[in-house]
Amino acid sequence: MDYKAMTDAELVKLYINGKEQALSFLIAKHEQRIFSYILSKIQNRDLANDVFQDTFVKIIKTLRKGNYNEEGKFLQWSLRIAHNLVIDHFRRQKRIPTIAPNDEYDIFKILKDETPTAENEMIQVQIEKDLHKLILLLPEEQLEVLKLRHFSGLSFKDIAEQTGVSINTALGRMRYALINLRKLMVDNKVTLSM
Amino acid sequence: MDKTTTLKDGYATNARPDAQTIQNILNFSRSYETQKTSNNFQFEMIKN
Repeated sequence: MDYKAMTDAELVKLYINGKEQALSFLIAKHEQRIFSYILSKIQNRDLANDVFQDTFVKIIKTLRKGNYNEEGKFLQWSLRIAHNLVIDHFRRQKRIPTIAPNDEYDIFKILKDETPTAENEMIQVQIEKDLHKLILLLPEEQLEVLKLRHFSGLSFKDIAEQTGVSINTALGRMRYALINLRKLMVDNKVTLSM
Repeated sequence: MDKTTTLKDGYATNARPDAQTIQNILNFSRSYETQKTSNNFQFEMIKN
């Protein structure tokens, strides 16, 4: 049987009737046109191979199910399937955008690892030690409000009740505690930031 | 006016798929089967 001399319609008919070899000839006859089309759109050889494979899987399924009725226009029909699969590919890509790092753009400049480094952990410990020393230098009533607010997490209303002063006095003490803390930082040349 | 479409470098119009891709397609074709039941239900099967 001279497959090479056959038309697409004849090869399709033979394939539907169980001649597997006819498919090899159909592929060999049209692979260049179909693959070039896919590659020109997708511009990635590996992905183009995937879409090409999916195109022929669809062709095989349609032929085997007896749903093919475009006799004589096999290539146009195949290109239409390839075209639809290329569109599907871009739709999927749009849903799940992939970002590859390059010279101008690196995703890891945006997505940072929030885990503190050993150096940052050491700085943090030092800051807490320095702050503790400075807090102890505050006047007693300001120190008390600061402790109740920041370490015990009490509201100013609760602080006022617990210390027997008005809310405004509690707020004022807190305000002066922070002002004095800033002054103490300057006087003691302490930096409380990384 | 020239209406020729020029493909980008490296994507020549004579590109062909990998041999492995063709082999995958032929393997699929050999293992793929469909069957219709008497009540017109169509089954797809992949033979081992």
